[in-house]
Amino acid sequence: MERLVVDGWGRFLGVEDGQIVVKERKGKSYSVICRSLPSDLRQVVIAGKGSLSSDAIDVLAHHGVDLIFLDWRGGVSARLSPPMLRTVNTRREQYRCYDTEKGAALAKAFIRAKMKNQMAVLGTYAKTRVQADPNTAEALRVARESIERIASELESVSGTACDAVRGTIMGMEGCATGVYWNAISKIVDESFGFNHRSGRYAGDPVNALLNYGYAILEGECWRAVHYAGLDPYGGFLHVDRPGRASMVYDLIEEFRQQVVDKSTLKLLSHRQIRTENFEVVDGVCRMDDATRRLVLSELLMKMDDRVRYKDKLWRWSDLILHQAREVAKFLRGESGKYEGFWLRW
Amino acid sequence: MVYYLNEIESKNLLKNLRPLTRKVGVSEDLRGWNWNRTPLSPYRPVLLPMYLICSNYCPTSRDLYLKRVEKRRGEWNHPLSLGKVIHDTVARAYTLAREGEFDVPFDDWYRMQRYEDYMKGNLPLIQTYARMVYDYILSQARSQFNVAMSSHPFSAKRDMLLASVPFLVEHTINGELLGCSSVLSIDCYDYLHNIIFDLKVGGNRDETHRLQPAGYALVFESIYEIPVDIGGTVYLWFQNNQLIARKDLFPIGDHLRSWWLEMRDRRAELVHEERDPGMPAECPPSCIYRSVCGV
Ligand code: SF4
Repeated sequence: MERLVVDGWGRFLGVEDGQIVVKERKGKSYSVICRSLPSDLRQVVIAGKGSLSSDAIDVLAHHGVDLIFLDWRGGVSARLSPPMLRTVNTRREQYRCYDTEKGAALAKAFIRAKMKNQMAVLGTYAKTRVQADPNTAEALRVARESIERIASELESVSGTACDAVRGTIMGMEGCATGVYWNAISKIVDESFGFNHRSGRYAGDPVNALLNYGYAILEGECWRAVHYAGLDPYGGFLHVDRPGRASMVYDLIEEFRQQVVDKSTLKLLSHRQIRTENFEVVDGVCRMDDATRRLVLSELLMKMDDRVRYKDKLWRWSDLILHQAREVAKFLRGESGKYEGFWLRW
Repeated sequence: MVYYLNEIESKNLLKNLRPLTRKVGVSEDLRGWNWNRTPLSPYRPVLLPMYLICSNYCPTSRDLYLKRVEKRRGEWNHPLSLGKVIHDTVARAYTLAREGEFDVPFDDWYRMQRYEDYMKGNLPLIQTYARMVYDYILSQARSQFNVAMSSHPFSAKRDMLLASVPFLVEHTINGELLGCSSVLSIDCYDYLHNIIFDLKVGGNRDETHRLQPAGYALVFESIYEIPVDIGGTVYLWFQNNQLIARKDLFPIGDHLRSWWLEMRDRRAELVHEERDPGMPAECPPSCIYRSVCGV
């Protein structure tokens, strides 16, 4: 087991005989429901209401295991990571490159990859619908072409620092993303009331699902950025703001579509999720516990799934780590180019 | 050499490529036998020859528009003539070799092709080069055959020919299931190594040259339902009156397959919409449409 998820209520994470154990309350006593060697773990996700011992934190840190806590929205509320080596040089370059062409090139690479992945998702959905629903297929295809045009305009953006290009790139990204979600809304059942991406406070079930999925992806990207020796707060594309993990948000851009959007749309199209699984609380759409668990397990399974990229077979989580390391290598000058991750379908 | 693997290429195949393809594999969705499903099923009902899907002649693909929409023909020039003659010669030589006919004279066959009636370029030089290729292939095939016969003295000649010259050249196959023309011709299929080869006349390597074998592999899988995981581009060129042959062997993995699909869909779209993509900033000097486009 590489990732341990502690979900549900009244669970306790502790240590017994050097092993990480999860216990569950049964009446007045606790029984062990899971045991694993810390050396077999990469990440522990605490997704429900539970408790953990300081011994467990210590053992996990000692074995370099990431510990993340998710709130009910799927937001990462806290993270504990073991101390890192070899970060000084990387971080020094990371800050320095912000004001150089390298920083501008990175900002562009993240969005180029994002647009290509958006095109791939739209192209795939267009093809699946060409017989059964040619009008929707055509709308998806046209949207894909629009994004392709924006992507080719992106190529002409050049600058000697992030600040010089960021506004333009983000403008283009905004256009492409608008086109993308508008097209995606056509393949989501109308009953979900999804017509645009609303961001942090979800107004409808699809946005709630996406937010939750992106938060899980954020956990994975954070881990990757951290292990690559990068400062999670020092981004190139996203503006530095206190408490905002801009570098993590930069890296996420390459993975949103292939990891989260496709998984979410799959759950919706397989009718595993229904409108009655959601309720609006204080103006924010929330999913019930069973749905939250379903999304969590789908996404975590996806992270352990394999993807073929550059004639290699990667686990998604390893690929994310690989990309973060490629960013670090590029910043340190060990490679001449950073290529964002994208697939053609 | 041409389609035979030399020692280094064999080692590369056995120690690198085969283990790599076994380890990495290919997504089931991208196997040719899933031609009826996304992402393989063609989006537009347009059938294209493989070279028009994969060629990178014209930077804007205007050559495709001229050929398929305006039905214009390009003009023969030296590189095109040389390419055509060498392809014909390679196919002829291997066909003879597979029949055990190692001593058929070159000139009789060449004369009958009447290339000079329609081709342009340095035709005497092209003939010289063609003869070099012809002699080279037949002598090499003969030697392979002799080795096979001497190792298996009780085998039938036909059997040894099939084992020592294991190449289907200009193998025709129907590509319609994947949005290609009904008659496609694969330069070479090495059935003992399960490799699809594409022949290029010239020495300039280019990543896009890998697309054609990838496309053929998909078509092959769609018809025969046999996985083809390795492709090869054979480069033949001439330098100081010397024939040079090099190979690029590569895995036909997800990346190449989806790249090919993207090219196919993009080009089919262009034909379907009958849209003139316009001219690039610069046209390659060897483009056969220069006079049509007025360059
Ligand atoms: S002449 Fe130029 S525009 Fe015309 S087909 Fe050739 S490369 Fe394309």
